[in-house]
Amino acid sequence: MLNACRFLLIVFVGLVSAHVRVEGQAIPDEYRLKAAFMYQFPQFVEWPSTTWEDAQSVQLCIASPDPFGSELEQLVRGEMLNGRPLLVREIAGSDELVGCHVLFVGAHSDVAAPVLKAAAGRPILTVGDGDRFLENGGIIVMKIVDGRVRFEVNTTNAARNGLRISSQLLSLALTVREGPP
Amino acid sequence: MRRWFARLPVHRKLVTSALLVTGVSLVMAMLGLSVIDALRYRAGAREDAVALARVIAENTSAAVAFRDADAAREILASVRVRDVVTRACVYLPDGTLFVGYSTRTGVCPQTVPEDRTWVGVFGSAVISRNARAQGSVYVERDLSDLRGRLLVTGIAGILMFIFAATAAYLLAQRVHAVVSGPISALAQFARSYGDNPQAEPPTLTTAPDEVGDLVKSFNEMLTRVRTTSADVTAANRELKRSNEALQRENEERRRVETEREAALSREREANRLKDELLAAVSHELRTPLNAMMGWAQVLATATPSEETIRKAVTSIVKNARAQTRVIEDLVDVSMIATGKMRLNFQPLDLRSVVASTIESMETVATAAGVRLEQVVPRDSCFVAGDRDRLQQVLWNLVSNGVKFTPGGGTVSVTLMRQDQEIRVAVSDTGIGISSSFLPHVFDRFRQADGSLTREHGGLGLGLAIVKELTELHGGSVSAESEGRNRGARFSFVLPELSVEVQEEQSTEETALPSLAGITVFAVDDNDDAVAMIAASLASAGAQVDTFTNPVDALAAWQQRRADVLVCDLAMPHMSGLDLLCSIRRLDSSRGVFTPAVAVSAHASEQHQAESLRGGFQFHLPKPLHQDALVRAVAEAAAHT
Repeated sequence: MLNACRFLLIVFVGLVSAHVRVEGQAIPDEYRLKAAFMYQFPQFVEWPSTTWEDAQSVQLCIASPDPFGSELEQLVRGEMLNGRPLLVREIAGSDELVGCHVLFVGAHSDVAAPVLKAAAGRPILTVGDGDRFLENGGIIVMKIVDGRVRFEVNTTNAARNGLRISSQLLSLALTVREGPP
Repeated sequence: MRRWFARLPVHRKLVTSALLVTGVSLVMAMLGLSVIDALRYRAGAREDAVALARVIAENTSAAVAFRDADAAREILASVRVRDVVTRACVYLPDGTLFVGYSTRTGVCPQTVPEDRTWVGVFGSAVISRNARAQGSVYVERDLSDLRGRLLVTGIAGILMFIFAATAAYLLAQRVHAVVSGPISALAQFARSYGDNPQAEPPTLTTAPDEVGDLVKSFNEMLTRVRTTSADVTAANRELKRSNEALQRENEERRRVETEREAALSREREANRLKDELLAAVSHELRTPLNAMMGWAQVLATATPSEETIRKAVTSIVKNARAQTRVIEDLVDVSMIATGKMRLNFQPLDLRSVVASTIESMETVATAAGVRLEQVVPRDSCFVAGDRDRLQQVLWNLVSNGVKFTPGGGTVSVTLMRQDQEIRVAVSDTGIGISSSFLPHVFDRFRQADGSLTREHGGLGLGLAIVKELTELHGGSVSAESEGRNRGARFSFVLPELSVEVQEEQSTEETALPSLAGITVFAVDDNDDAVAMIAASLASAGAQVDTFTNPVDALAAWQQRRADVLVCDLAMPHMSGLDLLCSIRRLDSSRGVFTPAVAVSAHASEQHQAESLRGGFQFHLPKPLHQDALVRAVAEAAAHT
């Protein structure tokens, strides 16, 4: 079992690196790392139990434009969370938020402010990389520190959206903010 | 160890046994418990390690997911509180080391290690989240605390042993008083019994158990031993006696065996000598016979020349003499050996013996190119002896010397007087005698060269006869040689006859008497023999009538008579004795007496005496010596 997993992983890494070589110009390294984070975060977050009652999949929504290219899609292909397959979907406006479980709002997103506002109070894990993302109601913000991707968490915003962040994830965060900014 | 234990007194044995049993059981129990403890502890340690690995896997899952090595290292560092953990390693799904916690005893391998590379016990867990393997954790812990536990157990065991041993010792002392006390007392009595067999056994009050039985049995046995020891002593003495007898018998048997073996080897040697003798005898008899036969056949041819006849006769006579010599030697040896040799002792001057021997050997020596010398004192050298036999001794020595001396050599006979003894030495310049053969030179049938191809013939009897005859004369012989080709020297010594007696006039020195005018009747059933007699006597001038049948001779006697009768003894139809008897009867009727000479192949003294009793004046042994025959006939003729 372990060997099989390892094999799959090697194949996967191989595929990824091949892709990077081919479309290295299109996808900056920064977003390749961030995509990996994007894939990991949901695993340390607990949604309200009602969220999953009629959900067929776990949807990772990317506010347009999508900076990951096909990177994230490749990462989550075939992966499951809470017994449901992961899907990646690009949204152009807040009206497309329905069904999203995770929302990524990039620093350069055209629809950052309205989408983030729309997501507040709904059971959506908002992840971003803008400078004032947490102040604008986001839950997790990714930053580049010393060439590494690190992140900060705002547990108040998480609680407002009805989400519980795993203490393990919190222990890795650069800072954990509580209360409104 | 076992011997040491066996030598211990009984009460020591009891105490030692108690201590041993206690010690062994304690050690066994402690060992068993320790093993179980160690096993259980090991199993616990493994569970512990697995549990720890699981905790670490759970705690580091996020750090691994986000590849946050610092965070993971911090979490791992928390295991430091468990000082038994030697290594804790976290690996990524691709098998590479993510973070590791190491101590001085070990560092984490760079890839997921095989199970067997871990020291001590280890546990592992898979880091998983959302049913996906994110990595793995390996925790190794040592068992150093187990050693401490075992040490404590050991110390406890030693303490317990000391307590138990003390208790066992005290208990064994009490048991000794009951069990081995009587046994010790018995043993002490038994030891002193040897010094004082009359001592009474100690009176012991014992329980009715095996020890009590032992004491009772011992006392009974003691009584029985006292009664039987006397018997045993007697039996011992008897056994010793019979042993000695057996030993004597063995010695006797061994002695008999040795004697038997010696006799057997003597017999074997005698057999061998007999075989050799037979071979030599037949050879010695056959060789001259061959020559005689050859010449006889030559003579039998139509017309042999005068020269041939002379040669033939010379050779035949020579060979016949040689054969005679062999037969005479054999007869002599046989007579000496059977003790039948009779010596006619008379005072005689050895000078005359030497002189006649040299004279008789002169021809032979000259023929062989050997010079004969004699050295004799001026005074007479008288000994008591048989002239013929002493002559034979000297003749044997001289002819031996001539035989073994090559041409140009010298054989000298030296006669001397010393210390009431007469010594005769015969020395030659011949081939000598090897030192190894020298001691056997006088043995019968021994020759230095026993091979078939030997150069010198003969039976090897000559020197044996010399020795035997000399000893019969009360003398002794000796032989010396300085080795091969250095010559030899034989001497014999006889006691000197101190009283000077006039020696009997030797007849042999006189010339052959003439038989001219004497008539002889020669009777022998053998044609050759009678012809030889006739020829011998005729050569001396006698007139001879020959008969091969005694009946014919008797018939002739009735017509005419002769001066002397020469007659064979063993003949068909009528023996020589019967013939003489008839002739004497005829003679007495005519008033005459005819002397008679018997010739016979029966040469023993018995036969000689018989024929002399029967009326013969002389008895000559066959083969006839011509001179002896002529002398006998001359002497007989003088009787009339």
